[in-house]
Amino acid sequence: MLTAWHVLTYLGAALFLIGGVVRIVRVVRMPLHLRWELYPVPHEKGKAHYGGSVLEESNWWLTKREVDHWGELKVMLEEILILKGVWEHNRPLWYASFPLHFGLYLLIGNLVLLIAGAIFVLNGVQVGVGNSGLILSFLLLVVTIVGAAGGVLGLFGALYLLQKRIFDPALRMYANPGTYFNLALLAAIFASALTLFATDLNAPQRLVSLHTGLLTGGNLPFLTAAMQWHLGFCLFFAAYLPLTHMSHLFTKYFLYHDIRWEDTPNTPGGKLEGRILAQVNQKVSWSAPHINGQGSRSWVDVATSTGVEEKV
Amino acid sequence: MKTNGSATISPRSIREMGKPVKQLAHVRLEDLPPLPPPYDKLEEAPGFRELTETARATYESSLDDTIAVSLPKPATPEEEKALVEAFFNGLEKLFTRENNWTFLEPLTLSMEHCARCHTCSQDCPVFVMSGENEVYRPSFRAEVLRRLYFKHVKKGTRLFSLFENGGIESNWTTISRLMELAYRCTLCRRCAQSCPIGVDNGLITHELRKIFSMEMGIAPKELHEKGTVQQLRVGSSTGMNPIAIKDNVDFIDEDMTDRTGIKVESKWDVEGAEILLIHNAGEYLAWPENPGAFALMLDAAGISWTLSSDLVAYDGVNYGLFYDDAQLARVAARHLEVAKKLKVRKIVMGECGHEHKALGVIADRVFNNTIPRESAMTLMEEIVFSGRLELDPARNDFPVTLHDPCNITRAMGIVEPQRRVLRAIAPQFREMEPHGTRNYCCGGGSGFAIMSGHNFQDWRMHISGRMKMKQILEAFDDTDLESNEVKKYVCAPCSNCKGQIRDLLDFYGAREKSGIYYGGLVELIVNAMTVVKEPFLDWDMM
Repeated sequence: MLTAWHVLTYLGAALFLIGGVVRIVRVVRMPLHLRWELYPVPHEKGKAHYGGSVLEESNWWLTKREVDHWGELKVMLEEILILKGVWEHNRPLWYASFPLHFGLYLLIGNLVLLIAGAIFVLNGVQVGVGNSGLILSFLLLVVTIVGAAGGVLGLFGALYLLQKRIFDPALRMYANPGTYFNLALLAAIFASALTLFATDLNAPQRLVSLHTGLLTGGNLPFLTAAMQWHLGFCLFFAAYLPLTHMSHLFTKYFLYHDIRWEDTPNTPGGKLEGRILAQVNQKVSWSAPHINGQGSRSWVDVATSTGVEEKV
Repeated sequence: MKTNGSATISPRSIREMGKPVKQLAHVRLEDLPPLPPPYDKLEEAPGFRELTETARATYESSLDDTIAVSLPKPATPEEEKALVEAFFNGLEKLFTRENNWTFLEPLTLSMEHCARCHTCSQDCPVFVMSGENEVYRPSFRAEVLRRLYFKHVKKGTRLFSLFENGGIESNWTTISRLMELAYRCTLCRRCAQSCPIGVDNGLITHELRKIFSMEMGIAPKELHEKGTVQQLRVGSSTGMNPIAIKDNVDFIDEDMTDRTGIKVESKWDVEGAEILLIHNAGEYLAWPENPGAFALMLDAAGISWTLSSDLVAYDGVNYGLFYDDAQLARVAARHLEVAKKLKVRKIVMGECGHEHKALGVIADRVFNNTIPRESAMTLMEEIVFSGRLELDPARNDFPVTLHDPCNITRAMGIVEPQRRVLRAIAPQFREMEPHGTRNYCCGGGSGFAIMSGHNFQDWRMHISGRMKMKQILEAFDDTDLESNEVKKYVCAPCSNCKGQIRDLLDFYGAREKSGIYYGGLVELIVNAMTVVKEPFLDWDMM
């Protein structure tokens, strides 16, 4: 039987996905921008370690472009998993930001484990029965450890960040009501996760049953208060995240790959030519006298005039 | 005792940007991080001239201690209202694909994802060397613009926007201060390099400048009227027309021939040449030995090259890069057209950082089927290691350090060629710290090097250039900086950087006090050429 939790879960998940997809589609559909890369670009084979590029080569346009995807992946993993940029450039903040992010990763990892557990159960596996049952038992143990660790780390990080946002004058000056709310919400998620595991020995099994019920639209187990709070906070966070700057979860990829590391040259007959041609034929409406676009002159018109004759 | 008035003033909230006070920020010299000895004595430091009362009364100047744009204050409330409306029209256009396809994606992503974590702050030389005045924090101006964006452009409820992004006064005070604040960042993009999310406050500043220029027709006259407009009309931002440039180059060739004993003859408009060499035309006037040395080196290396006498094409300057996409495209279009007309195989960009970026990478996506562009750093490396020149490094046996122009290293990844050359020809070469793609801007980036109105030069000497001065002194700290006997050379392969470093060394008296000189890279190569009988570097003339 469908309950309010079913509906709220599907709604939360749908809003998260829709919000994420909208964000991503919006970025993907944006026009090709001018090159604005920043070095080091980690896919520059043999040169990334010192920040070099193919532009150092004589007649570079005749050189075969070699892209080091592993180099990119390594930098991305360091950035995502250990927040290397914050470690290097803002160490005091790292001690708060890293636990928060890593706590979040652990809870997301736990969600994956719980869904895996639910799939086990749906396939008739019972805890401790047979080889599969042993795997499920182990999985439940891991769920407890990862969930509790995520709760501790994340709660520490969220509260530490909250403290910094409140007491550090420079951070406070840029904080908005939403900044405090977001951190409080994250703290609530982690605190409820921690409470959930600390107060209920059957929490892992109950959580697997919860996910089984949610995946199938079937019955849900008895939900403790901590579990209900945790679920509620998580669902609200999922639906709300795409509306905030935290949507960098979806867009950070583009900020790195599409901008900071985007160095594709526009070669004759290459894939960029057509896109550039379409863009430079768009009409501009900038009003400054030296442009005087009025929505009737294209970029090409503007670029091929001197700007002096446009003055009115 | 050199001082510049009352206690430091620094805003304590973002909303103060719209508060009608006489001056939002003030930096006291006493509060600036000290330079290394012997430049650490405040009583010996040059002063920071105060703005005159007339300037304060005439121009928008309520941001800080200086003026960059010199916009007259609106005379009537109607005029002020029209300026506010124009700004918001421009802000809206900035987020449309028709008007700003050039940077829409990076701009939108940077506007919407900043975590306000200040990870960028300590990487900004202006913020750090201002004594961390809040108004110069790289995220400060971005935050003001971000709040205006969420309030006026981004669709959504007003209440949620206030909750999530904070509020801001949409008045002329805010906007006029933003206009000035757009010219307190050198666009070095060091802050962007450190942002864990990928937000680019340098880009936001760049885009902010575009609103004022492309919609409102407001830009510092050094960049616009005397910069790109003059370049497109006369041929060069220096004011030199084709006749004047040819005369100048003739004179330089004669001088070079006299100095070196080697016949130097620059080439003009040679169709089918291998290389079209485009210098920043400022070189011809301020550092004629640089284009002269190029001519000598290229001929000695047996390279087929030419200059162009066509309008614009003899000046690699493209200040549009700093403030206006239309002007950027216009200048770049002329450079590329002429290269096609001359049927050269490639354009070589001279020792000019922003020319490198504008022509080397930005122009790449403004036009199709363009002539390839290559850096002079690469060409010089190729020549030096080709064995075509006989070089004697002992001729450069004095302390040499290298300044990395941001546009060549951080924005293009051209890091090693110039170093390999220096390692080969300058035995006492030493790096600045940090260097390469983590270098610090000279403090004259984004057009500042040519901006000196009112007391702006004092600002860029004391604040935006302070970190570079510190780095230069530290690079030579193994020598006696109290003495000028040992000549030291700051190699700055960029015209604007050279202008800024010249001003810094003059301002702090570093040439007289410590024997610190500056110049380009090609001069060191020619100085090492054994066919040149007398030393090419003339310390007395530098």
